[in-house]
Amino acid sequence: MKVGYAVAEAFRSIRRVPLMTTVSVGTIGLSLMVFGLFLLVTYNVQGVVQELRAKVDVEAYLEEGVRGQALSRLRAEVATIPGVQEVRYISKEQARARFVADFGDTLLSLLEGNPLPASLLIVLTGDQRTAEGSAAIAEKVTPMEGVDEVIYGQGWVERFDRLIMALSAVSILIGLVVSLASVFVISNTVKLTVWARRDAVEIMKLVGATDAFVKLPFLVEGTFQGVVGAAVALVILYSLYGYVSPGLGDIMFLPLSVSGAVLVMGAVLGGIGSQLSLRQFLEV
Amino acid sequence: MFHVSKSFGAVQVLDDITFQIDRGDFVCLTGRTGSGKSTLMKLIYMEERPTSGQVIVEGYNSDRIRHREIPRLRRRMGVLFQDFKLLRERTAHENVSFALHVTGVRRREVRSRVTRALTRVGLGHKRNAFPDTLSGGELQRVALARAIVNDPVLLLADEPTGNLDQEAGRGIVELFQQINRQGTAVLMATHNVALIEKLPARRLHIHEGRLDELVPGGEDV
Repeated sequence: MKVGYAVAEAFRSIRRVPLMTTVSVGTIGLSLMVFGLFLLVTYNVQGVVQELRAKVDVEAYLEEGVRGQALSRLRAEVATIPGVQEVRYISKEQARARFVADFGDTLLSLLEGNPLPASLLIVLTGDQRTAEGSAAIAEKVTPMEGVDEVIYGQGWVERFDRLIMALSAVSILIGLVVSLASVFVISNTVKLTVWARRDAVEIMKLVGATDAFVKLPFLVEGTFQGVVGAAVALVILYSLYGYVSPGLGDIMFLPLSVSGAVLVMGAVLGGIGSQLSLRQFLEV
Repeated sequence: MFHVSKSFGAVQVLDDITFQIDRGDFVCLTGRTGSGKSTLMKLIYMEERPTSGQVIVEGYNSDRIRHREIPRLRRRMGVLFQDFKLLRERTAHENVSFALHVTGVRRREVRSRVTRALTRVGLGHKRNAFPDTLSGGELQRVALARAIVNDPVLLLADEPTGNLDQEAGRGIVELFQQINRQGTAVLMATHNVALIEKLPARRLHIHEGRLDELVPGGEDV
């Protein structure tokens, strides 16, 4: 009953100041859209990096003539290093076949024999697939007997790690700025609607409505504006995504949980904003 | 009210005021504009707290009342103003029912109580009228219906006839008398002495912040 009345009052108020409400919803929508855009970019870059990470392996090239027991010992030794998931042996012949598959056989046919060394492909466990992780494994494998040289994708792994960190930081920063801006905008809009309804607020207090009851319709109003703003942001973002994604290939939209979180964020920001503006009007 | 004084900054508005209103009393409060009548009213519905002294209403003491108890106190009284304080975009019925809705009265009850209150002030037939279409006297009656819809023990009226012509003013005062006869105490502040001259009511007069009780023979007590 109380909530039903508060909702009715909130919509009565929204109808009274439709322009202000539209401006408020629009501003919140725009702010949350910028935030959502960064979430979307971060989310997709993270996806790409994860995919690339799966390909982060360490390869140890072997000295000529390492085979039989020496090879088995080396393989077993490498396999015991924490963070190593699997060790695959690539013989000289397999290396040649791989090279030919990648680059064709023109180059190799110019050379006598097979210049490619045998190697151990060291597959890392998931959490080890970072710049530091692969470097640490490489460091342990390099001094082992029979190992000639160890290579790993150090450079680009580091670069991607830095990119992800930067994007996450920017997202958090934008999230904060957007939160503050939304609270500010909603608190000002609700302040205007409180001003427009100051007579009603005064009468409510005179006839003995509790503070909570006076606040409730404004809380509903602010929350509503926040949710609608967030929904507008998501709709625009989705349309943008639909427009741009065919050109960009394999990008994904925010998963349902994140979209839901943006809606909840709008609601919470709207609620907080509305309550901030009420304080000064509720002094007895 | 016991030895109540009230100052706003360096300005003392009320000075050592003591009086009591019992159930069923009809009290008129006179004094010039700006003499502190409204402040005294505000002290009673506890929008203001005394600088010194105590106001006790229905067992609530201004010294000890908690902020969240004030709404409960206000539901025991009705307040009326010179400017009616009605919501323009709502009908007479909605203006009165507003007071019940916002204090959490059940919807079923609201309708019958509002109808009864509007009938008591003689406006049962104008329940769907908007304030813009009503006369000054009628507006104050709607406000009165709102003030009594909770069956208050005390009705506070701050210059209720200030915006009305003589006849409409007299009509309002007559309604006050009817309501008073049914047990509600009435405290009416006015500077219109002519209006209350013949009323069988106690008379309090504020002058320079001090309160005097006048007896119907003209002498001070």
